Amino acid sequence: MDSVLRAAFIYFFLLIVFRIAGRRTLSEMTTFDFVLLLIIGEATEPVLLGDDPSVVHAALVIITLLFINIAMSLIKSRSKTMEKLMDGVPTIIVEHGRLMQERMNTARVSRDDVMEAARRMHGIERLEQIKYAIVEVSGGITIVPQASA
Amino acid sequence: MDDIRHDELAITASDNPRANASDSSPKPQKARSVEVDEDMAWQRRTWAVQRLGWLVMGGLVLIALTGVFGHGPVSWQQASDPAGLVRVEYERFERQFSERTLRVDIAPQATVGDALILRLNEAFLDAAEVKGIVPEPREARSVGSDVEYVFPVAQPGQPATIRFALKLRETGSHTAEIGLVGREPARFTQFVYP
Repeated sequence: MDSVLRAAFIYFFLLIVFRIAGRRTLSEMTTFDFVLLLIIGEATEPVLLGDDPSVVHAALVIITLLFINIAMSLIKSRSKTMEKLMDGVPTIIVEHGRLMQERMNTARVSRDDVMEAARRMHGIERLEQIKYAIVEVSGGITIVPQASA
Repeated sequence: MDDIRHDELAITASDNPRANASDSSPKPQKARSVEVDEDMAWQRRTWAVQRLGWLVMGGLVLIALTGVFGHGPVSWQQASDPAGLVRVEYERFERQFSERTLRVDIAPQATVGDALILRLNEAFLDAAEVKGIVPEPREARSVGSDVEYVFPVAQPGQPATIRFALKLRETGSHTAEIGLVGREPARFTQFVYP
């Protein structure tokens, strides 16, 4: 019983904390972000396993985490509200080569981030060549180039 | 040559009536131009197996909540000796290397002398390592393969509680016997998961 409850608690705790932290936090991983992720994993481990290193306990924790994740994805595919609540919504930050500065500030995306994504995906050189830039729910930036560029 | 092979595969998959039975998406009119090694029949089998797996996982989570895998309501049990002097609170299902507390309640009729002697049997001591006892026994002695713990009695005629901090060592089933010396012990069976 406690295996399931511990795993469920950690799942929803991390879900809430990472939603509050925002999507840019771990998506564009720097070296330090990676280190941070490892530390979070290390800090979570004793809560999940406690003083019970048995095989059954580990298996139950893993199954519970995966099952909650599957259940959540099923709920998300049926309920738009739940999907918004858990994943957030995509945000347009560049429209027809025009930066939407206020949105970019709150989304913590700089012009450099947009141009980097544009270069990486489409070999775009100038801002005017971008039709749309969108911060996706996964935290990445997608670029739609101008058709006549 | 390669293109032809993929196109043939696409046709085979979309022409399979069983595979398309529940597919409401529009049926492709002819072979697709995209070079994808698609095998919808196989994909559908995979999806079916996955959905079955989800049910199994959900079932396991629910069973785990009841305590069948240890540490839950189904697992929390009590055992008494025939005379009703010793009551043991134990877990029916335990897990290897997990640390648990075993609670032994002694009835007032048994705390009459200046010492209280509890006897633990060999099978139980083989399966569980005693990490600590509260209160500390005055003396521990072996009687054959069993062990007797002698506890001082502070308040004669009052109920007493002794707690054993245990670490489960051996997997599998064992029958524990815990009782007062010279009397029929409380018997219970535990199963230790790996």
